[in-house]
Amino acid sequence: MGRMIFLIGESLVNLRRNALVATGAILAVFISLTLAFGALVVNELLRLNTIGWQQGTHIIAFLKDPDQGGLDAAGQVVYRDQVVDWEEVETVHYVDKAGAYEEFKEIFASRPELIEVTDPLKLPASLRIELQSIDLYRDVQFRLSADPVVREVRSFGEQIEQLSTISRVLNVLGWGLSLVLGLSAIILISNTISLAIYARRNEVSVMKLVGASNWFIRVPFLLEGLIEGVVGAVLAVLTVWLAARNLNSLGETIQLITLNIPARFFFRWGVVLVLFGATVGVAGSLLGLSRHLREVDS
Amino acid sequence: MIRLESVTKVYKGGTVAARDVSLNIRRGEFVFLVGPSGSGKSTLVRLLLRQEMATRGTIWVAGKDITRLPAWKVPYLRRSIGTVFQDYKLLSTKTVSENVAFALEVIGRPRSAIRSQVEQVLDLVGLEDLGGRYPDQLSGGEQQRVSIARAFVNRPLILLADEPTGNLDPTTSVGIMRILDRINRSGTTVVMATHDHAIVNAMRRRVVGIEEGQVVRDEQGGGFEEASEPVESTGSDSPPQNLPPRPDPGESTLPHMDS
Repeated sequence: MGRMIFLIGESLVNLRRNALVATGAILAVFISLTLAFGALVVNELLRLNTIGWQQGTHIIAFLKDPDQGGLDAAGQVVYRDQVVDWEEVETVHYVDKAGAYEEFKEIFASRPELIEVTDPLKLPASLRIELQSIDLYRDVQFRLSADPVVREVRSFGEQIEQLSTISRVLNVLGWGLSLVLGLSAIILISNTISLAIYARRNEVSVMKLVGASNWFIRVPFLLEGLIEGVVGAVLAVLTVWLAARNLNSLGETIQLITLNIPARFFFRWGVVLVLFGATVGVAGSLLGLSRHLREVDS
Repeated sequence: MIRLESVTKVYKGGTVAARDVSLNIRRGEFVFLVGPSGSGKSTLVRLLLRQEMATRGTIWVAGKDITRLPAWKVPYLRRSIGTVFQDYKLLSTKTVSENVAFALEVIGRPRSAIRSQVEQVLDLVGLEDLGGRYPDQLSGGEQQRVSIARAFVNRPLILLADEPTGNLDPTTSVGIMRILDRINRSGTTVVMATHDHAIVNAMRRRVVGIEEGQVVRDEQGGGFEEASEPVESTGSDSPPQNLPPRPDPGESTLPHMDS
């Protein structure tokens, strides 16, 4: 315990002596991981707003009424059972005319005059279809459109595809930038360690002379890099978390789009990013140690 | 305690700093390494500390062949060797006590033991009242005493001193030698590289003369200058028969001085 306190004390002394360079290294880790975490959050938002959009509905098939050449309610239920057997389809939710009217009233709750003039019997029943994979939406849309009992097919596939493309671009940009900045962070941390070794060359020299073990000499420098990496990562996680929280409050005013990311997402990825920051810090330290520790006279 | 068998050290560029050196130093001996600048005295000290690797030959220190010692064991070797240098190598940001304690902290001694050992060793070198001072508040002689205290605080088997009086005036040097003598009389083997004629002549201990990397003289009770019948190093454990007797271990041959 005493040794650990001594080693931590030594690494804090290192950080204090190299405050400016250490701050630069922390900022590099912070910016790199903020970009990486930002990309992850945007990706998650897009996922929630595509896969989870309309409670998993990818396609809505509005059905014809019997007087339009369509099926009656019992026939529509049978048709639902047929569609659910298609291999591209995951689930099908049948909304009858009464359900459609309830939904209408919910959506236009703020416009009672509209509800008043709408005839419940005019609203069509529909099938809400969730696909096995969003990539299959064109096939299913075509099949449904060709069926004479279907009045109209609406698909969210195009929007989902567009959002997926945006998501991919953002991911590539975010991860690419964070990779470059992550490497810069490793080099910067390595430089802070080199400077720390230079600043403490007399101490290191004396430590070697009096028989300090190699790990004992290295640990304060490793801790210094570790602290820089972890502090940068924690700041990045906090920044993105706060930004997402503000987005969430903004999202309350935007209908149909969810900006609410679950806390478990932040916790899980926060832990991963802090571990990643720690790894970057230790890698930078090891690089600096391998380059400069042997140069100190012993 | 220390044995060198046909040790040669050639630096990059071809400079030969030690040439086929054989030397045997017994436990408790006090040995001066003398010779002109660049003769290879400091290289021998560095070889004994494993700061340099011998190009050829074998070096035994405290029963271990240090030429075959793996790098990770070198720190453990150094814990049995105290080192004192001409430039003191003190840490300016630490007080006298902290400088001495540092040598124990970095090898993981418990704090309670460190405190008592530091007090004892500062008492030994006569700095018991200066523990709170920083190196730049001390004279050269006092700084060298701190350096000796740091080297001896771990009670090493061997103390290596490379020109410890090189920066000091004669009177201060005598004080330093009295401390080294006291340490030697406690059983620690002392090997000291020096240019200081007066010290070597006053101490009358074993003198090993080195020139151009070779041992040219090995004389018990010798002076700085070569005696009329020099004795070459035998490399054996038994002292040469024609040398004057070693001074009584309890008796210092140095002039008295207040410390």
